[in-house]
Amino acid sequence: MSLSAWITSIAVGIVLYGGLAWCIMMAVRAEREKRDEAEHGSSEPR
Amino acid sequence: MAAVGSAIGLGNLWRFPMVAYENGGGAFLIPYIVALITAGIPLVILEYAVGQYFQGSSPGALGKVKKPFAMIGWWALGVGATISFYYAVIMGWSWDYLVFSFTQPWAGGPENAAAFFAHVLRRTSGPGEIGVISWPVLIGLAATWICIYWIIKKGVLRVGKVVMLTVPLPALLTLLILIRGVTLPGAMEGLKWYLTPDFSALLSGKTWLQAYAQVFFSLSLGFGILTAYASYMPKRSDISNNAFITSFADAGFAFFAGFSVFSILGYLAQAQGVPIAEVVEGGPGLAFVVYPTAISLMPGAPLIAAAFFLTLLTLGIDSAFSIVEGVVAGLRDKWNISQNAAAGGFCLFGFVVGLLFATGAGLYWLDIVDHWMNNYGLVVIGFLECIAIGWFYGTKKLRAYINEVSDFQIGWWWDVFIKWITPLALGWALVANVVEEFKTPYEGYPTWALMAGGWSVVALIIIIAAILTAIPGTKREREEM
Repeated sequence: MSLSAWITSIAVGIVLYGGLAWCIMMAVRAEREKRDEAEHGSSEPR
Repeated sequence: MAAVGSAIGLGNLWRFPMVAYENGGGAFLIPYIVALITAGIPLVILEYAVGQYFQGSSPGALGKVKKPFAMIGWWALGVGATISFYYAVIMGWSWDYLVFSFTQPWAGGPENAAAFFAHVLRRTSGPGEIGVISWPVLIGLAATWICIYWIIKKGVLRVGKVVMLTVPLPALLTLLILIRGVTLPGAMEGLKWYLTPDFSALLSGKTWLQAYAQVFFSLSLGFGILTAYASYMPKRSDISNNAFITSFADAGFAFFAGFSVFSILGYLAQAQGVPIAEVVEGGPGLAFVVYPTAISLMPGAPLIAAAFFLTLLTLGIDSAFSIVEGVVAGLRDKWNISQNAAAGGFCLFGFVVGLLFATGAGLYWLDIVDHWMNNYGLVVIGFLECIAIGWFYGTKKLRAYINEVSDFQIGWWWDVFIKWITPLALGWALVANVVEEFKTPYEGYPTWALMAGGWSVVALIIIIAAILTAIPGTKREREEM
């Protein structure tokens, strides 16, 4: 494969799969924060 | 997960790689990503937000913006229903080929595979010669509708369980076929054809048009599916991040499927000693003629063929049942009937209408109806959705809700895309398609066939949508609007 083909596919791969990984990471982090909040929230009134 | 499954369908495997190949190879990926960002993602966000905020199926949700806009929703469901009638037939072929995988009756070269495909379909010489119903296709069609009914009859709970299998399984199977493909002689030559960029294609309007069309069809926009699925979510669920995940997963799968397709095409071209341009084909020809021919030349062909047709089935089934679920949700909300009754009634109706596509002329009619639904159904609906929300409801109001519930904020750019960029891009695509239609009759079909299977079907859907909007539904529906 030519160099331009390699560069294009790597760049597109970074955008698509990097973007997907970043979004999944955000979703996991938001979920964890919600869970932590719920746990702390339930222990505070005691 | 269900929305990802709905977006990733047969088109990712058999349409994207061919469109990329025909429009500048690797260079096509640039307009594709631009189209994804400027039209795909903003519209996915819009459809999710409308469904989740108004908590209704497409007609119900859009009807809450302004009552006449319910017609856009019914139009979307009409187009979705029509697509499901022939999509189920393609899945019927996949069932048949899955069974045939173990005997490989198509082996012996592309001519043999093409003749076998024509034999299975009992294909006639043109749309005017209806011929007879093919029994294998009829059985496959019935199996598909039974599966769809079984999955959706209890609503989203069973859908949620099924997509845990039907989303990862085709990805895994495609990866296995890819690994097999790239280890074959000629594979790198195939990949070279897929990825080598021809930057001059970027100067052609057609390339950009194709990129917008591909993004639009691939993301299941304009069917009312995303709106229906979002309506099942609690009002505080994330929207923007889910929209980005759906869009990136869909595009990522299409890009990855291209490697699998072109490695196999490279192998086939080398095995037959012909240039790759001679073996390249998209759509059903790729899945039911070219791929089976290539697979029949490999050691362990029955297993690879079974894996391939299982991939087609699992890719197709979640798209199929999501389209049907969108329609069923609309009918159920309108008349307050049970999920089971709406699903059963629609699946039976879909099976009966689908019989036309199971005849000897079915492939021709399928091709014509598919062309019109994609080019004049979905694009117009996307355009009208942008107008309804962008100019009548107000993007700022909806964006405020999206940002309130989402993992990350979307900015003013979304308003610009929904009000200006996306409708302009879709309007341009629409005008260009209509001009092309009158210049060259689609695929050389006779005018009467294009009128009957194309424009008449579009007109019929619009009339039905207008009637469904005008007639009163249940008391609850009237109160909500």
